[in-house]
Amino acid sequence: MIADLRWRDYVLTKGDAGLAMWHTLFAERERNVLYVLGLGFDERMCVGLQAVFGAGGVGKRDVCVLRFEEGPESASRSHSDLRAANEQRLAQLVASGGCGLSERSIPLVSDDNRRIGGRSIAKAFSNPEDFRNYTDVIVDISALPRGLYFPLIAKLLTMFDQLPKDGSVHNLHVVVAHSPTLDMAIRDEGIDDSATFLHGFSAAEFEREATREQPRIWLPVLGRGQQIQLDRILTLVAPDEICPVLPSPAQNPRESDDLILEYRQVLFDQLRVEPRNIIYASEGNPFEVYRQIVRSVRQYKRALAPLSGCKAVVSAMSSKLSSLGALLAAYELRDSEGEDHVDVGVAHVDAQGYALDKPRDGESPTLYNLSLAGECYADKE
Amino acid sequence: MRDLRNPFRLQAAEHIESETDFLKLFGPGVLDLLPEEDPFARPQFIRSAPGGGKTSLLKLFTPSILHTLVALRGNPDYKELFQRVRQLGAIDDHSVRVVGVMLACGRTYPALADLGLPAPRARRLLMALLDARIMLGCLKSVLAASRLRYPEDLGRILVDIPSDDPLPGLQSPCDGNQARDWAERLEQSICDVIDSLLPPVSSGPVGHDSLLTLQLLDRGALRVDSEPVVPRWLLLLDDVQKLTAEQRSALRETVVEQRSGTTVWIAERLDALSPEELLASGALAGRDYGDVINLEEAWRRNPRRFESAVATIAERRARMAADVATGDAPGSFAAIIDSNMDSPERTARTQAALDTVSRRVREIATQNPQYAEWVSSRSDVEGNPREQLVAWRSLEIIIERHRRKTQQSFEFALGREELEDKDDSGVKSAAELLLAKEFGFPYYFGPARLASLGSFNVEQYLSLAGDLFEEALAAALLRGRRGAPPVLSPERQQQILTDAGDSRVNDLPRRARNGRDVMNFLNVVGAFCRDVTYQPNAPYAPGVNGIAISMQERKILLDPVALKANESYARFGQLLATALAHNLLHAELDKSVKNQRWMILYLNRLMCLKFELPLNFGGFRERPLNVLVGWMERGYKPPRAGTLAL
Repeated sequence: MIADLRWRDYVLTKGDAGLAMWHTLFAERERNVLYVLGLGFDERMCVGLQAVFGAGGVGKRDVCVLRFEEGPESASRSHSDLRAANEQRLAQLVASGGCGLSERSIPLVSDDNRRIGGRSIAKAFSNPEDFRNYTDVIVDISALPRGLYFPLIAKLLTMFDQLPKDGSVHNLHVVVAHSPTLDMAIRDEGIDDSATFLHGFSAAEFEREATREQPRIWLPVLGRGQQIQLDRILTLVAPDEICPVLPSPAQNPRESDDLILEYRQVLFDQLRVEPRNIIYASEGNPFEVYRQIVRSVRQYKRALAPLSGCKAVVSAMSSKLSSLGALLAAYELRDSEGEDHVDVGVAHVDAQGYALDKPRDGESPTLYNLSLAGECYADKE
Repeated sequence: MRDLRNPFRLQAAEHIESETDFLKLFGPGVLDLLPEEDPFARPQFIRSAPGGGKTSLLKLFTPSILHTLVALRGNPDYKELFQRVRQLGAIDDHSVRVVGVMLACGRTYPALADLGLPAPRARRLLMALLDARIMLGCLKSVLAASRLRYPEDLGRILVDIPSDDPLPGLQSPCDGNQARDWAERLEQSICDVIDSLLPPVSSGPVGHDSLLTLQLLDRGALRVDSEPVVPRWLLLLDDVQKLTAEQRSALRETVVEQRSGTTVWIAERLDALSPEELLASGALAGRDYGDVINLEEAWRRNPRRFESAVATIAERRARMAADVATGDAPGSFAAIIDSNMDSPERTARTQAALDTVSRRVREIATQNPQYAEWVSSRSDVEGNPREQLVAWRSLEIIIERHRRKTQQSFEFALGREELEDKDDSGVKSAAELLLAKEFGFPYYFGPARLASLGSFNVEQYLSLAGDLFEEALAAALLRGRRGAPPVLSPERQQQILTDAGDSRVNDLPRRARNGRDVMNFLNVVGAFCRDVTYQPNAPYAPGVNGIAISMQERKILLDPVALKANESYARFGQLLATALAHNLLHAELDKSVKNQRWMILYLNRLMCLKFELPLNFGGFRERPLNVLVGWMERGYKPPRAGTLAL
């Protein structure tokens, strides 16, 4: 029997319903909130902070800003004015809310130009005592690159899962200001030559020589304009079976068709993916992405049991919202025990920076809130 | 292999599933680049840009591939490859003579450097992890070489280690199962340290001082059914560029210092090297190493060999498409490439161009009677209209050169012998290029030019050939089974290749670090080369497609003190390193020109297409470093005069 999913029942709110949720939550009792966000050029950076801290309530309100430098040649430097504007906006929100402010500096690249962002951010949040005094820790990934928020959320989930069950309240939430239009306007530049497995998941375990012959199942969650990344991750993973995850339903009803057309050559000519391997999951529900991935991988594991099971690789190459689903799936598969445990890697390729095209219309982002641990899952614990 | 519509899209041979298909698609030409005499005697360093073919070359020497090749020795499709590999000594008529153990160095090792461990401990863990994986690889490979099964036949392996050379934690003697368990435990313990979200300071194994498994192999400690392993061990380390600089040094030192009897081949991408190493390529050659084989450089020394090698690969892939498809796919790549510019439908255009050019030249002679004899000689030229056209255009170039040089007020009549002296192959090639530009004739077509456009990189060639084959597939599909196989006209070939080149260049800001700087600089160099090439007197016939920095100034780019003092030079050095690593520029060092020594930087041939430049080597212009840095920072302004007026 396939084990139950950790987030089979989940808490996901968006837009006005999300705001109502925060109002209700903060009105219930005193809550001490730590809001963690990245400092970047993305105009969505402060949307969540403004909404959540604008929901009132009593208790401490602290902000932890993650500063990361992409290097002197990063294309993101050309948006330093946008970043400065965001920083100013952040300062205003912090001042008007009477919030405490702390910063953590996250080195992304070592002296010899290797990617160390994942380890750096995990190291920056290594002390559980840092969260003991907060009832709610909110991680806003709107302006954080994937190479940082994946290991950050994995680390926080691990720490939260290890907190003693002494009746104290510790909730972990993730928020993201979602806008497919703005996502399409941001392009990676200076993509790294090689992909890597992100820290926080079974990177080294996945690459063991002892289990090299185990079949590898790759589940890329596809988004637009990721051809180069797809090629590089493919070189790293060398999968035996590929199950692309496409968004359906989606804001654009033909989004999955468009993605098939965009990646037709690599999917069907180069990789010869079986069309029936394609998985569809709602663009607006990361928990559905999570569910589809976990179930698919577990089914493969059972089917391939005569070959000693399989390893799974997840790649999040789409919107941040869908990417969260991939993250949760990887976390659950890694942390499962017994016959449900799967060695899972998260294959990712970083970029030096980002270029920003002008968005085609002035679409406002929608704020999504996911609760990952804490009170709403107390029954499960 | 599952049905394959366009086999050219299967770019990475190392990902091909079956041994038979891998061998079918493997072009044997690359084996000519290995040392002729006992390539397995000393360490070899194999380098190339991405897609150069390193991994496929290493994979060839793994036991299962070699066994398959021996089994297929009678099959005509594999005969040439079998003979080449046998010549190298890797196989004989019945058995495998080399046991290749292939390890990918991109896996896990770099993470050891990020744990915050003291350097000696990190190095020891590196050696231990390598030892664990070499042991596992050896167990698998020796069973494969003996045609036994892994892991079922591990019990038939005996590991008998000399008592003064123990492997920590492994009791000797032991069988293959115990050796495997030892290696798996060691590997697991190190991986646990790496994956842990807790600080790793005191956890994990002690590690090893050196590569202890190599010593074990040297001593013949591994036996199968109590018999020593007869074939020679060959350790194949791939993707060494993924190690950190310290790890690469540690590995090289260990491989050299240990002077192991086990041969080690190290394959690394050019982009691994630091800018200093890239600009100083060739630094490794010496008595302690075998050859440093830079695949692209080796091909450049013999372009015809590359052309032949990739033509073979292309034919094999096309044949594969014909074998598996429904019957519509062309069965030969050469057959779809039309190289004929003398077909009847082109003759009228060529004749019109001939009339234009000959009229132009005759008019020059009318005003300058000293050229009358030269003009008359051209009127006597035999050959088809295209050959005559090239002859007339060559004459126009030679006259222009003469006019620019001559200061004399008397004009003596010039004889035919003088013309013959000046009318060399360079002038003819320049004439062909200028005619293509002036009259819109295709220039980049045909098997030879396609091979040139591959820029000595197999992946680049396959990508371009794949685009052409895709067009042929589409045409075949529309045509159905009736009629002759599709043939791509020179014009269509050029269009497809131009589009491919454009997208590759325009994609650079995304594809590579400092990609935007690199793209801008390449565009500037291309524009400069075009200005120099398209002058009426074609001064550097057939044209220019490279620049050169003096070896003296190159030293500045290698001097950390100078680079620290000058940010622009440092940025330029990084730009060059990226361009070299990605095969966008090719470097030739220490070329002597006018009593000075130069580093020549040739454009990738695909860039030559974009700027309508010739594909030869040898045409370059020297430029001071500060000018090139200025181009990087401010762009290039073409001179007021100098481009060919059409």
